Amino acid sequence: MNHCSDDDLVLHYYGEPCEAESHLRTCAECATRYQSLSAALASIPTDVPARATEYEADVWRRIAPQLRVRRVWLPSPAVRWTLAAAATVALVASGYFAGRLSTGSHSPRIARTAVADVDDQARRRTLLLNVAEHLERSDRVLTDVMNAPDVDIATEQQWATELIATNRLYRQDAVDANESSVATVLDELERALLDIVHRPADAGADLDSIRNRIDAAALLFKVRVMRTELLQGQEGTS
Amino acid sequence: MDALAAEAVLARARDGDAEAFRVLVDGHARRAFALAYRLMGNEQDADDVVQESFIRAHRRLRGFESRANFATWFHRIVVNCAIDALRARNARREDARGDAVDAVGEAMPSDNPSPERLARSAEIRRRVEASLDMLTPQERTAFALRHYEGRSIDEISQTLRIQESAAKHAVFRAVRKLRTVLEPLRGTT
Repeated sequence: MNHCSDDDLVLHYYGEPCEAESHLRTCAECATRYQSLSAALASIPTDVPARATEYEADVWRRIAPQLRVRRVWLPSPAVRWTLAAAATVALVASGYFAGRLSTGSHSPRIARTAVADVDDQARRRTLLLNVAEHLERSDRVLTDVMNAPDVDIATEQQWATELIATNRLYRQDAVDANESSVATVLDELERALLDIVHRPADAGADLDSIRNRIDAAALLFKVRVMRTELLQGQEGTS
Repeated sequence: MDALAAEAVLARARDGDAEAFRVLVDGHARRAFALAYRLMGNEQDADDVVQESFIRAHRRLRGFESRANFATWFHRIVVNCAIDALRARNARREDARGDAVDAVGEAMPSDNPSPERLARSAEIRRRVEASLDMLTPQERTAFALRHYEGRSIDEISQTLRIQESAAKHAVFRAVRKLRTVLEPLRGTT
């Protein structure tokens, strides 16, 4: 064998398979080089500073509040539809009673118009509040996908699947309500969610391309800005 | 904790039981700190990595398969958090990098090495840290996993999700850079 390369010596030092061992027994020059490498690597300090006895409690104290805040609550589709149905019933009922109360002083036609206006405003507020909440959940899923330490994003894919159906409904509602900027963000969001859901398991390169697309579209930023605007709009009208 | 109890704790933690997750923190925080310290090189950054790792683990716990080993899964999360933290730190230091290289160069042993063993050891530590800071996050992580943690090249490639040859060359490059600092230092002692 020729003389060992530095890389062979490194492999030998760390006990990795290599051909250096037999050569080192017969070659004084390589043995000296190996000795020098060993001494250099052995001089690297390996100690770790001791932690206090209450270290675990300290870690817990610091992370516990964030665990509560970051927990994603995604109700099942059935629960969401029940809530939506209940909200619709409440809106219709409030419109009906508002109409009944107003018949004493106004003609029926004027009363119906007033009730319709109230209904529209209430519906719009409800829609935008729901969209703001939906954007918050989507933000968390996107953030998780962007920061996932593993290639496996099965959990995020499950969340994204649940969000897609809701996203479609809200996007259509936003179009109907002439909220074009909301509809545009929801449209981009839907494409990203579909990318996430349809990504094959354990496709590392594919995950990178999804992240790049989310990044290039500045989607997280848009989602956050839109959510903030919607919430501020609600504060302004309430 | 026996295997059955550990499995029960994991199942409860996955269901959102905070106390169960706290048991996992109690069982893994110290080892996580040791790993994070070796990857980051200072206590403050290591503490930050430990915290962020537990937060990430908590978020992703629902996707964790009970058949897998929690320690192995969490080890990978710590490594990935550290790589993210190293990238962020390197980006912050990018402007100052030239100065750091100069500082290491200037810190090379002079004709008057310290006679005190303790002082020499502290000096070695300081220079090792300075030279580790000049490695890329991948080189630094691969080296730390190989040198301190005793992980094989195969394990390193799996943890970092890179080819075995890439893991091997990351270790080689790290050793090469470290030797440029360590060998002259030894020559003067």
